[in-house]
Amino acid sequence: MDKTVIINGSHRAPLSNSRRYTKYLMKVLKTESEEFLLNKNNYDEVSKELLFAQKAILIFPLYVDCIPSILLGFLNRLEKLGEKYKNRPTVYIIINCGFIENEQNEVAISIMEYFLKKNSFKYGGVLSIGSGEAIMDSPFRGLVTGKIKKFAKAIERGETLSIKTHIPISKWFFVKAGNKYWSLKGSSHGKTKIEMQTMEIK
Amino acid sequence: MLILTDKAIELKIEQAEIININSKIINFCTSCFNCWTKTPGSCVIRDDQVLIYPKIAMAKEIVYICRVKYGCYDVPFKAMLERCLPLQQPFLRVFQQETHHELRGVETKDAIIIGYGVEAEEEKEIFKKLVERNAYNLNLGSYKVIFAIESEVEEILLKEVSEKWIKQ
Repeated sequence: MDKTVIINGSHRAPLSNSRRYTKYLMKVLKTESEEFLLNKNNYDEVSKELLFAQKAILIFPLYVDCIPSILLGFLNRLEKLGEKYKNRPTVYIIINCGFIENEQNEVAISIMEYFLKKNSFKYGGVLSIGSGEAIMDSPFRGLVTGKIKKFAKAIERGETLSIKTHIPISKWFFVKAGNKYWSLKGSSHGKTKIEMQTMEIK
Repeated sequence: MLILTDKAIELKIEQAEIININSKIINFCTSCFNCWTKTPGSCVIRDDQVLIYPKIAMAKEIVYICRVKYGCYDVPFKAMLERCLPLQQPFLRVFQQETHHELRGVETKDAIIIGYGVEAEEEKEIFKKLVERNAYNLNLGSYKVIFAIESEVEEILLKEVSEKWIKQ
C-alpha cells in the first residue's frame, strides 16, 4: 500500500498552522495518507510508522531559526530506531515561517537535508513557506494552496520538487499588518500595546 | 559572565556563573505566545527556565557549550533557547533587510559558542549559519564559534574566556 505518512512537528500540533496546511494537503492528495501529531511520548510509534511507509512528509514551523526541539528529539529517536529497520521512505518537507521571507527557512532545511542524507533517506524536496502564519487568512491564500497542490502532485508521482512561496507585499507593509494583528491579540487579553512592549523580563 | 552548558563542567571560574541546563527542569515551549500577549516578558511555564532567561537577557558576556546534532543545538539546548521567547516582543521590525521581532531589554552580548560532538564538516557549516541567524534575535553583538571534541571542552573554555574576558 502506497501510504503517505504526514508528521506534524509543531509544539502546538493540534492547533498549529502546520495542521491547517496538512488538512489542505490531505484533501488534495489522491493517495492514502495518515496524519500524526508529534508529542514527546509518541516518538517510537511515529518513528515506526515512518520507517514502514513508502513516503513521508515532515511538516513543521521555523522555531528560533531552525527546527522545533520536539521534532529534533523525534529525529534523534528515528535515527536510533532506523538502525533496526532497512526500509527508508522518500521524505518530503513542508516548513513555514512567520516572517515574510521564506529564505529564513534555509538553515532548517539544511539541517533536515543533512539528517536525511546521514540516515540514507531519499529526499523528495521541500515546500518552503514565508508569512506562513498569515497567508492562509490573506487574499493571497491561493498562492499557498496552489503550491500545496503542485507539491501533492509531485508526492503522488514520487517526483522530487522544491518550491517556495510567501505573501507578495513589501516588508514594511507586512510589518505594519503583523503589528496590527499582535495589538489585537494583546487587547483580547486586556493588554495595551505599551504593556506588550515592556522592556522588563521576569 | 554567564556560561550555559549541556554537559557538567568541573572548572570553577570566579567571574562566571555556570548553569548546567541538564541539571534543570526546562519543559518544551508550548507556543502559547502568552509571554507576548497575556503576561508580556514572562513565561507562564514556571519551571527552572524562568530563572535562566532573565540572566541571559542581562548578560554582556555569554558562553554556550552544547552538543551539536545534525548542525543544530541538541535537544536540551535548543529547548532552552526556545523558552527565551519572553526576550522578544511580538512586534516586528525590518532589521538588516529582514523581518524580525523587536527585542525587550536584552543587553548586547559578546559570545563564545563551543560546539562539541560534530561528526562532519557539513554540520559545522550549518551550525555556523544557525548561530549567525540566532545572533540577530538574541542580540549577539559579536561572537566566536569553536568546535571541540567533548573531552577538550573545559580546556578550550578556560583558554577562550581567559584570553577574551579575564585579561589581567
